[in-house]
Amino acid sequence: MKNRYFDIHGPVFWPATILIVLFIAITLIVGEPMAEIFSNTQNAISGNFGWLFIIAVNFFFIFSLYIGFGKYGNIRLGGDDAEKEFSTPAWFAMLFSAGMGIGILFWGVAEPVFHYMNPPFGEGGTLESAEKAMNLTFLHWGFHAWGIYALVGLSLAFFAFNRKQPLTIRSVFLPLLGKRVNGPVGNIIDVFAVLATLFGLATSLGLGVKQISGGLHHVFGTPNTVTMQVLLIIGITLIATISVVTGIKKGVRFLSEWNLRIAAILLLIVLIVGPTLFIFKSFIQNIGNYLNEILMVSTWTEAYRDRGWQGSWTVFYWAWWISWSPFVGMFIARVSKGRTIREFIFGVLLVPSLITFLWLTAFGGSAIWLDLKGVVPGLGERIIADESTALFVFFENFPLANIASVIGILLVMSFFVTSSDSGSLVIDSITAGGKLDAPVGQRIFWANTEGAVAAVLLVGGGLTALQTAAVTTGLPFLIILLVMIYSLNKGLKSEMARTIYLSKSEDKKSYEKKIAGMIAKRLIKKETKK
Amino acid sequence: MKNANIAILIDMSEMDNIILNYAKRLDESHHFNSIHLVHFVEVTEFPKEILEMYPDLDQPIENMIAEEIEEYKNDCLPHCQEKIKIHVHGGGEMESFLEWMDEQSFDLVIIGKKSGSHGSGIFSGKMVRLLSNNTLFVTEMARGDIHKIMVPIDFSNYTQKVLKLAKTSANLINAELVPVHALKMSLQYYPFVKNKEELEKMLEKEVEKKFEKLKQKTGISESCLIVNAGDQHISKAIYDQAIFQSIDLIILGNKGKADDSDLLIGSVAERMIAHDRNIPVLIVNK
Repeated sequence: MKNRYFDIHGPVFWPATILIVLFIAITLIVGEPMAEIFSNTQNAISGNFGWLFIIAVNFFFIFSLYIGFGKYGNIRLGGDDAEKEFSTPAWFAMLFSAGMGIGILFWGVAEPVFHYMNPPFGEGGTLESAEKAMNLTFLHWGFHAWGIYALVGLSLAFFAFNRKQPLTIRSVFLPLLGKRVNGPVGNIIDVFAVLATLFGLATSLGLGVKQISGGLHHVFGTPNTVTMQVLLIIGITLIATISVVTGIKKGVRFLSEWNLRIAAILLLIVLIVGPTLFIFKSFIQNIGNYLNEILMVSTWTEAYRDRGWQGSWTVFYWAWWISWSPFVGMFIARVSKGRTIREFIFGVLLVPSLITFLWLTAFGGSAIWLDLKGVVPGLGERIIADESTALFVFFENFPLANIASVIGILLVMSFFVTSSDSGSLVIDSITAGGKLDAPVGQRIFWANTEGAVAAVLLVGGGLTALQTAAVTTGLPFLIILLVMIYSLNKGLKSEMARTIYLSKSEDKKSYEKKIAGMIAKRLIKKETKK
Repeated sequence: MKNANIAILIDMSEMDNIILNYAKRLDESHHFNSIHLVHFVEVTEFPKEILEMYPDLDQPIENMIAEEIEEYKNDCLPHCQEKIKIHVHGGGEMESFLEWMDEQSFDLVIIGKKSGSHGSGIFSGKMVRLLSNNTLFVTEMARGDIHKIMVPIDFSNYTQKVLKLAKTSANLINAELVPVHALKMSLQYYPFVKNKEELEKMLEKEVEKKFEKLKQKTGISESCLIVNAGDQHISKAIYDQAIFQSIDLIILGNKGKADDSDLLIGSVAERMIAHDRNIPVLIVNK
């Protein structure tokens, strides 16, 4: 199909679209009972496959360290002569805001306080639970999460830039499948990638819009209902569409740089007006705790005492990050051409994690401190009463609370737009057979579909539905990722062998001599002809 | 490989005559669709000394090379002028040459292999590892007519493809097909089976059974020759057998059962094209 407005890869586009439409239709038709179905599905998956998520994500993290700091570290994405497209600060900004923007605004205050009030073990609201709370939150947002992204991003970048394959998930399976990546198996992989991306993204968008609605309610007293949330989705998707039309370099770069600036301002405000000394001290201590206990916390599976805590936290997060990984991975792959594998892994693992840790300490840590020290009694209870207003309840305790809240709301909106924008770019390029610059019309279609799925999930079951969407699409994609690692390793291995062989030098002198001889022979022949 | 598009890598040495003649003989039975005579200029630019030696050079050296190849063509392949194309790849960039070769997706690439001197094989060694095409190594001693083709078999997932291809080629040129399997005694049996001959027989039977299955799948009728590799590398056993049987061409897959992906070609394939081996080898890519 060669058309200015429509350029798709049918065997991926249509199955994915049909499945999504089917999902929307069923959720809307079934109505009320759907909420229970969502909750049962989530429990079943995290109950039976939780352990698989735990072990796999650890494996991803270790493997990403292995390729980043092992012998493959010097391979440059795009070949030895590739040049970087973005400056390093802009690169960090894009990594960070594409990766976790909405999530961290939503959970930044709510999650540490949740763990502090209702810890998985021990008593809530105590000193121990405060330290443990930060530890668990760091686990969910730290190296493991970015390890997944790094791996997927690296695989995509490597096969797209070094092997000149289209930028889609299926390309990563080239060493395993050979020419069959272009056949049905490849299509199935890509359909799963589209579904995972779309539902993972919808989860974020759903959370984001819940928070916007909660924030508006908190500041301006507007109704905080599902209808309001759906209306907000429609409005913001419209803005996202405009951003899509203006193209990636202008639209997303502008917004993601501003996202980071506004987020930095918000962070600065909290750092200054909050318990500054405590934040800096605990930032260091939290990192130490995290590093010290990373093995224990990351391999804890509730094996001896199962209270079902992990299913709605750790497993949900791992599944969420996994279902996001095609999206974030493809995006960071796209902007990382020209960096070496070591630079890539180092940049993706470390920098965003550290910024996230500072954020979590400043927001969640301060909230815990306010409650623990008795500065604001009952703050913890109020925060966990509704996670969508957690940030705004936290702001209340500082001067200029309303201004901070409005900035917060605008920031979530902006994150929504960048996520939706880059998400539709990613889905579009998968469903268009890996083209990077497919027609704009399709991207608008996907931006709107993401909005629609988020809205339907909110109508169908709220937060649980959002979590179920991530967990359900995360599981099949987890399997795909495990196979992907094997394939990436194979690809890197043969790339190494290739590089070594290519750098073997020929005997240039003897070649030159040979050619010189040939020239002499020809010239003599010419002379004699004359 | 009937109606195939093939490339012949011309290196401007005395080997060119041999491989062009060889290709001519192949063309008589295979009727190639097109024949590309390809030369890769290995240097980015020619040194001043050379250029100064010939002040009356009125055209780029690349053109001269092309003209020279044109003459080869007229001398060696006078009957198939219209399907011959000449390509001289200048610039000295191996990567870009490999890319060009990949784009053409030739069914077969013919490369000359000089025996004896060690250093001359670097270019052809690179080609067989870095190209994704099937590559045929023609040696100095190669005869154009092929009577016996040997196919080493290791029952890996390449085997079937290689065997089928060998069968079609053999039929085309009325050659005899000799499938061969090299037995390697594994130590894993050691404590359980003490009698060596008994073990050998057991393994041989196993191979025969496996080969029967392969026969049914590929439709070949020849039976499999089994050689015992003993302490040698299996490639040595296979090669010795090939000499003994006066084989004209060995066809094998680029990787075997035990070969990992960090090797671009397998250990057997690598040793078959080593500089001291004189039988032409066709390496079939996965």
